[in-house]
Amino acid sequence: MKVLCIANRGDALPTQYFDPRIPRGPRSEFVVTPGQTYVVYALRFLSNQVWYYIDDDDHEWYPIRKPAPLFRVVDARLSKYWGIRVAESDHGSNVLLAFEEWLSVPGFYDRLTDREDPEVATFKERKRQMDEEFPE
Amino acid sequence: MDTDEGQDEDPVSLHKYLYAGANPVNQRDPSGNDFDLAGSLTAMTSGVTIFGMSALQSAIVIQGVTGSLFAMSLAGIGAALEGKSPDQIADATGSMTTMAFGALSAIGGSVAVSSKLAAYALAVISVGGGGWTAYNQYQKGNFTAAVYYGTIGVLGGILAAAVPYLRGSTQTAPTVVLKGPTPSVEPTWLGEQLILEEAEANADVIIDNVDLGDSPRLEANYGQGEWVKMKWTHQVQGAPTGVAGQSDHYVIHFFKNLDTGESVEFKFKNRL
Repeated sequence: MKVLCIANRGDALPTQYFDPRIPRGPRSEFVVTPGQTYVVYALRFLSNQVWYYIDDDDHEWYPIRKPAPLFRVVDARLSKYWGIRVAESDHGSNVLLAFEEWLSVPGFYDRLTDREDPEVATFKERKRQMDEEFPE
Repeated sequence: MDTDEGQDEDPVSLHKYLYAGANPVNQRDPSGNDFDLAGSLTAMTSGVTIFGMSALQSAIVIQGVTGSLFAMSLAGIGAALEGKSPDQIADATGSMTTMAFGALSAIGGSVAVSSKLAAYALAVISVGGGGWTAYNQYQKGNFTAAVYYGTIGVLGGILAAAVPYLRGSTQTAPTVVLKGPTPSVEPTWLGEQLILEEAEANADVIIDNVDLGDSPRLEANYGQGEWVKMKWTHQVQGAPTGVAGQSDHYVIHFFKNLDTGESVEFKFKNRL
């Protein structure tokens, strides 16, 4: 799955993406570039929100979620490496499409963002596979 | 107390605390004259099987044999201490009554510790019965036997009272040990201090708020609320970009309680 960035400011977002407890507003900028395409490494449906996990312009060691309304889908195929996890949480329905390790290993993404070596290595390999799956 | 006077040729029957079938930990005998087989069986949860029998059947056999052996042993020791002849000791030890009573009482008493109330009752019975028997032996001049029965009664009472707590402790769910708080990073110069303050005031990127494994730890250390992991990126103007091994931005991660606004455990995940 690939998406094309069509906006990088908060004013492109519907109201459900704003939380008064977070200093995010219409003028907030996201670290993505309009006109650039991004491979989606995971997809989350959370209540009435949709988030794409991409390698944003900070190019960190982990994919970070971005609101779907900032993008347009340009390759609608789902990755063959994805599975699905469905759960109910305090935030409502929580559906995650991601690669196996993320779905099956508790705390995987948590440790990945903490830059734990095994998780970083796993994501690096999964990223390589999905980048090959959805080439430029 | 056992109201049965007992028989001299069967020393076990003299034990006033033998409600517990010489097995006060596992035996229940509230009336002093019978035992609760059904209740005992419910406590047989070991799951051990022998000779192809079911776990329940195996448990009954194991309890019965164990109780018989224990009662026979106790009867022999009691008879010896009372100065019985070798033949009388042998008779007491091998008494069918002793074996049967020990087996049945062991089976019947296996759930005696299923409730604290039952265990406390057994403790009282054990101490009272042992004391009463000890007193009778003392009156008869059997000082050694008096000490023996008194000691058995007291030990049985202590054990009966203690076992529910031991059982409780072994059945407690594993305790989850949560790590303590992690101190925020110490800025090495004023610029980093300002960047951290900037992150706390302006961070608007939530890394994770639904699968955050640190939530229980954060709630335990800092208080209840919706904890999220936040990210802030500080671009350094004029820093070299695109140079291998060099960074042009700081990345700060920290946890924020969205309900209270508290921010904790700042870390530089990337720094110049």
